[in-house]
Amino acid sequence: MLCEECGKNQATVSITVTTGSGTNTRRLCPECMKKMELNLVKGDIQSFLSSVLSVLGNEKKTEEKPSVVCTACGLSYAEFEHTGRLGCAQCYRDFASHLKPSLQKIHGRTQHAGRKPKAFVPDPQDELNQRIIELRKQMDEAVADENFEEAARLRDELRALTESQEVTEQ
Amino acid sequence: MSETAIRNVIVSDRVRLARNYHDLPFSTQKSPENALLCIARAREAMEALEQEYTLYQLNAMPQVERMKLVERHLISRDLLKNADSGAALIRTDKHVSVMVNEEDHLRIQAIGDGLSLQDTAREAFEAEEALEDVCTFSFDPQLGYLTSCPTNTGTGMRASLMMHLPMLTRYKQMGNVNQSIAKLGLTIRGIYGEGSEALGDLYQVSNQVTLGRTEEEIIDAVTAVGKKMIDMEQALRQRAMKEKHAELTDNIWRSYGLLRYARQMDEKEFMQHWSNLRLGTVLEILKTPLASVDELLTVAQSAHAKRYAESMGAELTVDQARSAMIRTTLRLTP
Ligand SMILES: [Zn+2]
Ligand SMILES: [Zn+2]
Repeated sequence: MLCEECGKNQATVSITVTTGSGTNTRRLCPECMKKMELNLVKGDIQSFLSSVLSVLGNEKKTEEKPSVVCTACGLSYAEFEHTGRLGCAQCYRDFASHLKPSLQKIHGRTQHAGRKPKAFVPDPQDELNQRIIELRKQMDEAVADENFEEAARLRDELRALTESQEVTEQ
Repeated sequence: MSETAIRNVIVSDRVRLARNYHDLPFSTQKSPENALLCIARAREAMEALEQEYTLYQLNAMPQVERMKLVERHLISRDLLKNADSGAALIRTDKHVSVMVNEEDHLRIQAIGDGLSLQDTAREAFEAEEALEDVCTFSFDPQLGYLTSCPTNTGTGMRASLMMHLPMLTRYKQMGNVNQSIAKLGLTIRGIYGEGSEALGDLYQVSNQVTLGRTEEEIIDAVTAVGKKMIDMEQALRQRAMKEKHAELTDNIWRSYGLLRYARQMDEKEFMQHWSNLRLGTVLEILKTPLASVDELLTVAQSAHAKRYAESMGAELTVDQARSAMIRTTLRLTP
């Protein structure tokens, strides 16, 4: 078994920590154990505990990436990273937080702008957001062209739209 | 831009759309039932169209026939990897094909001649809409059409131009071209040959980015770059005609001589001389019709040559058959 702190070395020591929520056992390599013990030697039991607890807290984070699995097709994120191919539409939803940065890197954008299926019914909120993005773009262009009259008109239109949005949100 | 200028540089244009059925996992490799379902749905959809489509199931075809479809750019090499389940519906006029069970369930592809991506896209969308009448595609309001590889997500569209760029290549401009178009979300690569070599000086310019742009924006970007490259290539051709006229014409006639009289030729040598043949034709040094030159690019490829040899009942190697095919084409034209 690998060390739960660094994930690289073989775990040879285990440490049991009792917290308010129960008992937890961590398996660490000697190197990471030493780092934590160092805090103890310094007489700082609090920071020793907090570093061990941070391992506990990290558990989710460090485990989430390699072990997240698509709930529909069972593909793991690690497999996707290996092959570059997703398994099904649900993969996009289950891996969303990991995929977004990659999509941003590949395409420079993360909002679809093209065709939609004939049967697709748009969400009115999406439509409104889309219109706001468009108006902002037009306003920036008007400013860049020093067409301030048009920019002011677009600003007012934008303001009216965002206000109506706030009203619907309340 | 004149039709002639376009034809002088652009061999063909192509639009490809990636689509998946919403209710099936992307890969059909491990499920023969799903693979058959994909084919059945696609077949049903294409039957509704006025123009006739023919179904080609790879597992029922000999390898040489599959390769002929690859050489005509009607199916991809990747589809051959899924030869057990792969299929293609190909319109009788060969301008539109729908690959089934490639990386995505459906790869709809239309091929046009020149710089008419708008029209070519319309052909692809016609097929797409017919498919959509029969099924629901995997679509997300934020990410667009969902594809097996995230590099295709969004429009799922790849718009490309097949360009013949002998002078940009000889004047060593392709590196610069590559750098400047990368900034526009486009990419350029050799079509034939391995790695960085571009046999026949043939390149494909296409969009790299598929998410966050409309189909029109993608087509406009590829078209604009295509025009720019036509201008650059044409300018260099004119310059070479002035500054290196003797050398240029000599090269062209030598290539013509070899193509016309050689008795065996491998693919690499053929592609090198073919580039000169096309250049010589558009510079009006040679009288071969451009359509024959471009057709030669397909029929002198290995699978076509092999089939030709078999049909002649002659004991020819592929390289000998290729030469025979080339000689026949050039003999029939002035
Ligand atoms: Zn460790
Ligand atoms: Zn999945």
